[in-house]
Amino acid sequence: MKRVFAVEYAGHEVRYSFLCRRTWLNFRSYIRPVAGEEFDICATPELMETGRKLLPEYRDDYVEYRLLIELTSRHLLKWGCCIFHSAAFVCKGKAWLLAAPSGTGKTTQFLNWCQLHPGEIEMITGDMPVIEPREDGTVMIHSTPWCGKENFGNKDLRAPLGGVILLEQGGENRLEPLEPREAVIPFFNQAIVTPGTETEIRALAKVMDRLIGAGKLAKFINKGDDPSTEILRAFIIGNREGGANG
Amino acid sequence: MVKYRTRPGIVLTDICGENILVAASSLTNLCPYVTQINEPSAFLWKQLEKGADTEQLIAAVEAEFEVDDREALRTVIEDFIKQMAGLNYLLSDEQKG
Repeated sequence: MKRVFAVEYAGHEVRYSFLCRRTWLNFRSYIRPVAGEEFDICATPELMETGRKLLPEYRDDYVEYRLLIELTSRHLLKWGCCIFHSAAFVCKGKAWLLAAPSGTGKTTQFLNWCQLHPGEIEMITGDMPVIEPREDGTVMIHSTPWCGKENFGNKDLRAPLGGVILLEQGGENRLEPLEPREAVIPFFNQAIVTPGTETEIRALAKVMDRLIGAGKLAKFINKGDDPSTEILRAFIIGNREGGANG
Repeated sequence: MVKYRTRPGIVLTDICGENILVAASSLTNLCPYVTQINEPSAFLWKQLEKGADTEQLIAAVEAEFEVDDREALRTVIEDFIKQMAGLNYLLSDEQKG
């Protein structure tokens, strides 16, 4: 009999059945075994085959763990949540998302900040937070077992959104406000889900609408050096009272 | 004249007042996942969803907006259809889908 494991995301339990015996170990403290055989998500052998091609240097259990990000995000849409590729950290009670493709300096900015101003920020997750728009208008940011290469994350940490900063590597440090209309396409591309049905598309659009509308938005071309982190910090600390775009 | 209709699986949605066409996962190898369109284009898309042909699109725009130059309008609409068909967001009546 296959064991079933559960992980809680934004208060919603998702049950997994794994193809590989060791996959659950990648989920560390986020996962717990549950009784019964019913599950919500299981990777298929076909999907594993695709995953192996995308991640040829990794073991099957890690490939399965990575494949489960998108399946989980898609499952979360039914509760109006999704996973958004970004580093999420808390600064003075608000969650800030640094959104960028892998290898663009999300973790570098976090590490720089920790070194320059110790104890000021704490990582929710280094790679894949859950976005949860709430009825009261806030957007809560939660941790997930996918914390990035460096494994930065805190299972018990969550916070309302302060804002989202799109990171871009460049030869200069320039932070500028991002208009909602400029955010739509990049934000869609950072959402870790490709919706399969009209219902899912509309659910994802609703999450993106709330994510774009609930916090400050900026685009930050940066060199990843200490001065760039000070610019980022000044933007975030200076805007911590803000709630609307502007 | 070839008639076009919207491809099943392409959804027009609104995010913070911006009109977005999103392709369902089954279409991602065929057409762009997300495309931003302006307000007039969204109006035309909604008419296409209802099954309008070019003449009906012209009539719908004329009923909704003040139009001075019908031929210029026709060119704009034909360009829009060409652009959307080029992205594979539309199916011609010669295609199945």
